[in-house]
Amino acid sequence: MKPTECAKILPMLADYTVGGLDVSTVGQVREHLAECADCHRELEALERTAALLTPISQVEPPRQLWAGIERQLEPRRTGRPAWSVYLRPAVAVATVAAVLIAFSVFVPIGTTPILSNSDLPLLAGAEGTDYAETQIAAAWDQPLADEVSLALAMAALEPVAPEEVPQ
Amino acid sequence: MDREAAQRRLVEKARAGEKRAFNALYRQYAPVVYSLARHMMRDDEAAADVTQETFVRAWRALDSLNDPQAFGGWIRMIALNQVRDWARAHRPTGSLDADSADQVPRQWADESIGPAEQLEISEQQQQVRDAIARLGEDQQVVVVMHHLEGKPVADISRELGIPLGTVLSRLARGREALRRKLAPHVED
Ligand SMILES: [Zn+2]
Repeated sequence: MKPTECAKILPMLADYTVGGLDVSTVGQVREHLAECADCHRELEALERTAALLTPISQVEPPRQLWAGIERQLEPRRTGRPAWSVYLRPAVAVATVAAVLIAFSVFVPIGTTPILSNSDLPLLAGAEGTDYAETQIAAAWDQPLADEVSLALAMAALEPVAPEEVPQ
Repeated sequence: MDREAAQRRLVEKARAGEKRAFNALYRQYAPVVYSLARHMMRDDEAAADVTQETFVRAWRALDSLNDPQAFGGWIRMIALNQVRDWARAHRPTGSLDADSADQVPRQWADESIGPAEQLEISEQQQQVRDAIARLGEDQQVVVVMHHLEGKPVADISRELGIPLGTVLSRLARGREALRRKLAPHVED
């Protein structure tokens, strides 16, 4: 077999074994393999490689593992957390009010939650407790909490579609 | 809501700090991560440690995950990085575990195979695991999902949110790399 032909076919053999070639290229490869013992040997080596990969047996992890993980989960304060609730249309007007009040006295309440959900296990633990409610509860002893919590309470009173529960 | 959309939502909620959402992701992926670590390490306790550390690291790094749909591939990658670190620490020369004779895969533990052959197969399997552990990340994840977990390529494409052609080409490059690393076992 001409080495130039092999040089063209060899780099395609792995794609051939995984079904990654189009129909016409598959035809070319097969034609060559029928005549070339070297390339055929290489194909067999690739197939033996796949045969060496033995399947994983699926096992459940030890039950107590989550508790150990949860202990190490610090509250998340970065990313988009606190803001997502404000992006709901029903909350928009109240949000503007809350942010204006907050900025007027340099209390960065809009960007930093007074308390995150995870700081409030009793509140956050209840199914369906949402961010606004948590903030209202958390804000009772904060400076200027009255205005802010009023705005948030207004937002919480707006009908908001219940969160979909996946699965 | 389909599975992908549900997962995207869970990842977003976890990013927002909801541990309950993260726990749902844990319940979905802990068996995958633990089984993978156990397969690669042959050590239940070390596999449990890796599983724990994988989810703690994932929680801390959630903001760096660009596509929430790819959480499954991403969490496997975090686990495999640790498996690699562990393998380096435990087998610095790439040599075999002293007790590898105990680690014959069940399907090979056959009466008709003598102890010498069993040891040979077990050593070969150790080299296979080392070769997988040394693959590049992109190839490694698709090789693991397809060959070790038995997932069809179309499912991998959907789960990782990448085109089918990309899955196939990563699989092909991964197979070439493994074939080179395992040359003594696959050549005539
Ligand atoms: Zn040839």
